[in-house]
Amino acid sequence: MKKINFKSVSLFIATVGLLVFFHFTGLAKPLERGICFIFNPVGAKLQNWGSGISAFYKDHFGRENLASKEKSLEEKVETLTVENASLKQDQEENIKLRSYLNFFKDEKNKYVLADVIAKNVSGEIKDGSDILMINKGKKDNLKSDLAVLNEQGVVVGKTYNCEDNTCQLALITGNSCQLAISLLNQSGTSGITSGNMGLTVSLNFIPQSENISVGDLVVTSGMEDNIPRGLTVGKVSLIDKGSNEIWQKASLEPLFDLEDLTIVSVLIP
Amino acid sequence: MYIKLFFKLIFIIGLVAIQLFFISGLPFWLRFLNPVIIFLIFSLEFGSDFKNIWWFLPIGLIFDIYSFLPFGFFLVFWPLIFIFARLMAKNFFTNRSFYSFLGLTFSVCLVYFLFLNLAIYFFPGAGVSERFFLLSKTFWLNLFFSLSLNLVIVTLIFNLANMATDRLKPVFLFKK
Repeated sequence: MKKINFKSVSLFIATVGLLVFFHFTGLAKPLERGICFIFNPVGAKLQNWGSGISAFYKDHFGRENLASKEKSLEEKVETLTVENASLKQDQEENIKLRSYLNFFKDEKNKYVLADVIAKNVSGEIKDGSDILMINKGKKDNLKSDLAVLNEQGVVVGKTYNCEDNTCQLALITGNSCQLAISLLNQSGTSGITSGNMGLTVSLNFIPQSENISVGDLVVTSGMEDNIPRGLTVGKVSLIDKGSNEIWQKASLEPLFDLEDLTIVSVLIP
Repeated sequence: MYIKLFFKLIFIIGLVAIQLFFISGLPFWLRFLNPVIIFLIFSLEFGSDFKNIWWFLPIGLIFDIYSFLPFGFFLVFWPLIFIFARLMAKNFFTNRSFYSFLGLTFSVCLVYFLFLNLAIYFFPGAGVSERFFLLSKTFWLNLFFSLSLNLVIVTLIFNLANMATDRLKPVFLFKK
């Protein structure tokens, strides 16, 4: 076996050390931006192709062998559900009397469109985590804890860990994504959602006195700083009263398909 | 010589892009394909000059930029994987037979998967599991998919490469 040249090894270690040092001091930003400039559009294209294959596989070989008519009907239901939530919100606001002198119109939300360029990067597939990466970041005014929507306006997750050119998204079905929500039931029940093993969303800490039903629409409550209220999150699919407990729980059915997420919009406050 | 190096760099960067962006979008069971490790296995079997460790600098840098782990992790991790793989190729899986390719692939994929999950467990970030990863069914299932898929691909490429070159020994263990 050839002897290892220790000079070469030292040079390699020094290079690695320098790169890490430059990163944390910000000196490597031009290089990193250059790499992102080249890779982001390529990544988006490759991700689209991969997702296309994934969608094809799911349509033809998935357990629920959905006909194309079923798929288009599902999409229609999603759109109508979002519309319904928005109309209910408008109805409630119109009924209330606005006595404040500084009444102002709601401005149309600002948003940034972004491509999903990677999912669970580097094989980091963990229990209950669904993490996406998008090709927009701090230089596009993104920051942590912003709402991320799909093309139908349904909340799919929140941003976290934003770098200059990329941002990570935690999906609402992931363990660590929590959202302040309210239900469109009679009492406007509030709660906090948390993801459950990457599959469903749990709604916890609902007082037993609250009356919730399967099918109730769930929207953002506006209690979080950067997330406006009224954004559709999902529908209640299961309720667990837990007879001896103070709180009841519910499960929400998300209204989006992870495999279809290729473009998202991030709402900017 | 520089043109050859340039094309090799483009090829390696292409592999990294495919792994990071294309493969992560594929159906779940295909996401464990690791073209960088497969490239490492074949490049070691065809010539294991230690200088090849420098190719893992751009690989590690790109992985670090697009990874959720602290910057610098993959800059250190990928060269260590190379060193481990080279050690295995030089000392244990030496005869370029089919078995040596499979053995090298198995050991490198196993070490890669174990240490990556260990790092993910210890570094804070979104979706950190409450359970230690070795106790998780998902981990073992993912490991099975990772090993199986990469072994199958190495088998295919070995057989294709065997048609193109005489340097491989198309026997399982030893020639009779």
